[in-house]
Amino acid sequence: MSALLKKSWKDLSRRKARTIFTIITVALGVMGIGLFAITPLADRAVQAELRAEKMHNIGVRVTAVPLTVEQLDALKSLDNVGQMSPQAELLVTIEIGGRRERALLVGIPNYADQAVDVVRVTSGEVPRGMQVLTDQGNEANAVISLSAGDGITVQDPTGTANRLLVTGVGKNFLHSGATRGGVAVFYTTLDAIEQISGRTGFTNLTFTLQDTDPDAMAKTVEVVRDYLVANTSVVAFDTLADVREEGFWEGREIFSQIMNFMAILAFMILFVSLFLIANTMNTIVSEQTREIAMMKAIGATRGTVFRSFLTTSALIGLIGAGIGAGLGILVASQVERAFMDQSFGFDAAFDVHWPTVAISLAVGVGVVVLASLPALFRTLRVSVVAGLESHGISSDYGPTFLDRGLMSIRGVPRVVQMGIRNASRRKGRSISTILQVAFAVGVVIAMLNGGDGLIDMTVRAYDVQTWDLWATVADDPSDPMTVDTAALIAGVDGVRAAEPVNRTSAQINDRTVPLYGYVQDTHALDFDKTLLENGQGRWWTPEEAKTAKHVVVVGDALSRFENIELGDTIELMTATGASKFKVIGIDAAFTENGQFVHAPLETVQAVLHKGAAANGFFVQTDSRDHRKIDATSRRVSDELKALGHRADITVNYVAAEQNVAKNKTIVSMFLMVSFVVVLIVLIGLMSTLVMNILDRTTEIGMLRCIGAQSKDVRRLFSTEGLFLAFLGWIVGLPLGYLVCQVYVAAFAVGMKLTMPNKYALIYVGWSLVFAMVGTLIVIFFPLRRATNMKPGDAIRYE
Amino acid sequence: MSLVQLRDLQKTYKTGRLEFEALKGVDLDIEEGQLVAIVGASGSGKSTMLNMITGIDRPTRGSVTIAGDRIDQMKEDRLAAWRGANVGIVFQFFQLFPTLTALENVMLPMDFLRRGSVAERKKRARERLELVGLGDKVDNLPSELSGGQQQRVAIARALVNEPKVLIGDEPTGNLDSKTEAAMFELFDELNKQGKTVIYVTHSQALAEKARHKVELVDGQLVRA
Repeated sequence: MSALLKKSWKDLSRRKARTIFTIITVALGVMGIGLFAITPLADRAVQAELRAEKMHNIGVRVTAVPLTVEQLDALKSLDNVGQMSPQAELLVTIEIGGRRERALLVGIPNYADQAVDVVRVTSGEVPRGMQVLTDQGNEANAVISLSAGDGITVQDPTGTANRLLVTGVGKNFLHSGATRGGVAVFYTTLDAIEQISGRTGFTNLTFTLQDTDPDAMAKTVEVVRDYLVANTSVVAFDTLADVREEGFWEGREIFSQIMNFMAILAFMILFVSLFLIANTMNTIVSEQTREIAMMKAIGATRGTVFRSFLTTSALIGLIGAGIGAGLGILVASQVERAFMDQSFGFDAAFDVHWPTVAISLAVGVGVVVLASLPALFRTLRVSVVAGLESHGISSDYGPTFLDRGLMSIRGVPRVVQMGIRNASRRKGRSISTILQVAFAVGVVIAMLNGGDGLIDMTVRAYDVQTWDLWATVADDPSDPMTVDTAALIAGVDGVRAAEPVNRTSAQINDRTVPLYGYVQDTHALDFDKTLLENGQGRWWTPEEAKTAKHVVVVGDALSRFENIELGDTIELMTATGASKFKVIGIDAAFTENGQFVHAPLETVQAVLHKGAAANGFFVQTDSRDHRKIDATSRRVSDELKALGHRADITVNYVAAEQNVAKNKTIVSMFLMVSFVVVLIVLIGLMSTLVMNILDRTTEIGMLRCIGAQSKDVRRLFSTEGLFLAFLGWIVGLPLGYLVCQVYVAAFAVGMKLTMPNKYALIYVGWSLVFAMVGTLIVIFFPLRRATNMKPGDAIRYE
Repeated sequence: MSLVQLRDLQKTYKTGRLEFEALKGVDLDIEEGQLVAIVGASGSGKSTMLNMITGIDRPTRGSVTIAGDRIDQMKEDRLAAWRGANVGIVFQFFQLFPTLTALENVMLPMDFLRRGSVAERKKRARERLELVGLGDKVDNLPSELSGGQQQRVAIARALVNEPKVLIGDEPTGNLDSKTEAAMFELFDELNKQGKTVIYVTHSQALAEKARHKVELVDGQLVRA
């Protein structure tokens, strides 16, 4: 090892605590970059699963349709179809150990011959007759815990109990997803489905295609529809066809969003660590002014000195990046595996995304060297004479306007005065500390206000919905309710009004949105403010409803995403095909994130070929009391059951609370980001103060020489820290406002929603308290070091 | 009893695996009102002995008694307060606080001892600065003063609490010969007024001017 390299290495070990701080910060930042690996790792793991299960390209849902072998062969031979598999699904209520649970039974014609959406047996035996496999997600998602040999009881329409024996555990990527919604999933035989439902036929037809171009897939959907309508009992698909682009999987988008969120976190950490690295290198150079001068005096060129310190910073970068990349590999893999286990119920293998590792290392070292550059260039300017003559306490204070300004602060104890003035001695370091604190304060204020805005939007989204209960029939097309049922529900004790609704999915361009069919004089929606006051256009007239006119009111966000204007004619793809509608209103409600379509009930019924059927009812109760609403909910459920319907009841206040709680989780994630940023900033602040104390060790010794006690030294440095934190807080206030605006703008761009612009004074106050308390906490250890220093050691310190 | 009483004073420094014995059992008495120069070659233990007398360093063995106080047994904070009240120290590199004006630098030891009101401290600091000939520089920062002026501020600061003893660690080591002479005149004058003055110096001329000379060789006293 050359003497110069040795020096660079030794420079790091001279101030171990500072080096460790800096390396930890770099490592955290680099680890953050490593989190970018989670998305590709997850994608890689899921793609392997999808390949193993032969995930479909298109899937259509129909009312149970019996298909002959010839018809199945014909479907397999349709243009562009590669493979095809039929399945029969049935939503039931099962009884297990005295409990009643919603369950999805999936009937597979032949477990040994599954061409698409394969159900895999992970343990036990393939089910035969009245036997089932329990989905592994049932236990993973705490829905139901069953093993081979156990049994479940299902009632058929005649009220007869059917006992199904569990033969093992199975899994399927798509169906397992239902278990996350609290629905137990079982794989069984077509015979079992027929016996329980009393009907024959398939409900799901899934296809892999030869050409997976979006246009080709859309065309194949039409070809399949045409074949089924022409050759079977199918009138229309029950829902929109499920068209999957190659490699698509449920949750990928939200997963990517979460990872983007993590990425923001990583960049924030890296950004903050820039200041810390710059500080560290500056201090190393300051401390070694005499050594630099000495090196130059004995023949070192400016380049040699530069290289020596460059090596020191590169060593920090290499060690920090190395540790960070290692941590990143572990954390990324652990997060990805936990996600796969919890979300999809499979054990992903430990995997490393090497491109991310390489990028982490490169960025880690690069960022450190970049942040060190100002300090490195300082080494070039050190003059031999000035450097060699630098002894004792430096007296370079006073020439600037700022120094003079701080000197005018009077009426405070001398050490407080010194603490305030000291803040302007290392201006670069102080500015970077102020900026770090400002950044943290800004992020915290923005996150808190942004969180409030989000919660406010959620509450307002539910405010516009004036229904208390929404009764929907089980997702079974053979079980339709008619609008006449509304009158029967309206007669239930506790119900003030009931009205039918039809909710379905519609596609506009590539965007899938809910399409609601409301009665014209609806009491379920309070659109006075969101449509008539803050929106554009109007609600439909009784005449338009009566004649089933193709008129719609669209959500504001949807109109912005798809460039829809009032008066436009838009094409909506529904389960029955494409239809054109005239836009008569643009509603500013936050419901469904502003992406919805409202149309007359009669129009939706006509488009879906539903006659007078409705798939749900909005119910208003005669009390605001939650217990009374719950009681009415039970009575409505019993009434529908008595009428022969398997209904789910959504309680508005519960849904609102759940949604608010869900968004509070998101807000908590925001706050977590703030917390990490604050933590890094506090580490930076502590490091700055440690450096200030190291810089002023001789001064501390001198203070002790002339009678300063521990409390005087403590007060001096805590004043300096608090003063810097206070200035950071001041700068952070407008920064917080700016970040809030960015946040609102991001919502406007990303979600096309106008988020309430909030800047609560309470958070301004709290941020000051946190900045001050945080500073007092982090300066504890540096202060202890300063006060424990013996004057003799301090004066000799170089 | 002597003002300064050192008994069997030993000090060993440890640097990594190396040990260096700076003082090897020194016994010394300095009476009140003396003007003492401590001389010796570099590394002989002069500054170490001075640090023992001021209490800014502690002996490995032996005792340090100043004006009847065993300072080697005092706790750090008590010792700091004691030092502020009893010892005035002048260093080679002035060691003024750069963010404080000359007046504030001189007031600082009084601030630490909370002596009198702020107005009284100001008045006294101004008097001390006038005594060292810097009555017109009270509001100047150290960066606005010459080396000699800075050293005079340091002396004013050392004197402001009326210490029993004034101690200089190479007090003129960083000054030109003309300023050195002026500085010694100030020390001499203070001594004549009754102040005990002890200083370490490399300067033969300055050493000769002292009324008592203490010489150290390799950590041992050869002349007292």
